[in-house]
Amino acid sequence: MSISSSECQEFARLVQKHFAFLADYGFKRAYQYEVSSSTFCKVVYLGKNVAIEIYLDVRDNYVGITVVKVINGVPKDKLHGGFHADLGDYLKRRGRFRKIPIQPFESSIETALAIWAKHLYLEGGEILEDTPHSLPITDMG
Amino acid sequence: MSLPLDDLARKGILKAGREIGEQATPQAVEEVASAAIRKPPIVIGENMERVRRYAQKIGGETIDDWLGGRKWTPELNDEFINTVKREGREIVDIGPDFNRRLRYRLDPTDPLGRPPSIVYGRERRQLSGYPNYRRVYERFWKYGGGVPGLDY
Repeated sequence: MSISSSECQEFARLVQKHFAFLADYGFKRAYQYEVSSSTFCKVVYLGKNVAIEIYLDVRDNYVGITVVKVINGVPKDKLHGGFHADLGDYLKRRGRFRKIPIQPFESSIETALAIWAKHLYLEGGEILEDTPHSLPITDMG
Repeated sequence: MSLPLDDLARKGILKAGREIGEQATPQAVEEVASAAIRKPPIVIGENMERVRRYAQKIGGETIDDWLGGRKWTPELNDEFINTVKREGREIVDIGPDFNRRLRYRLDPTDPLGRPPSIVYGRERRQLSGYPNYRRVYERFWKYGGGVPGLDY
């Protein structure tokens, strides 16, 4: 699969559709951190303490979510003194990652987005609360 | 004056250079080595999110830098690996995305899981025996491991 910037725009449109609920929790699109490259598309929602990064790995047609600590308004991952984690791994470590059945969409990308959105909405309460304690400073250990 | 790290890198790159072209003159090999040392390392691995994040941390480059906006294809991916090998570049491998592999292992119908990446597997095969290859990930068991600081 190859991709163009317009395809990243289409990915962003689907993300917007399935993650519209993030606005209710105060998260806003942070275009300055978004990526549109030959192999990768990333849409970023920024809160006061948490950033939610939804991406498409073009080479493997894989959709994932990374949650990142926000420090002084800037997403800081573990490599830069903050914290980041794969959403599925983060929820699993807290015993909150269960299989969520969903009616598949025509596109596998959209199906994955819909499932991730449900995981975040149903199981990611503390992330959505967006408090200073929503994510640790360092790894969970 | 060379730093010790430069010397070590130079030795690795010189070895790569010799293997690439046995007929090349020592001067040509040295020029390739010097050029490779000046260029940032190449980061490869499963899941471009991880690759980009790690490359940003170490000042490395990814296939996106090499593509320069061209559309990605499997053929260009092969060409990318061949090119950086020919240049004698250091290649840093951050390994598999164990999270998504494990999800697939637990339930192959889970859209959030993935089997081992064909693209990454091909890169590994292309790099088999390449002397300037550096593995930075650890594997604890078949579906667990990663890069310290990046994955755990």
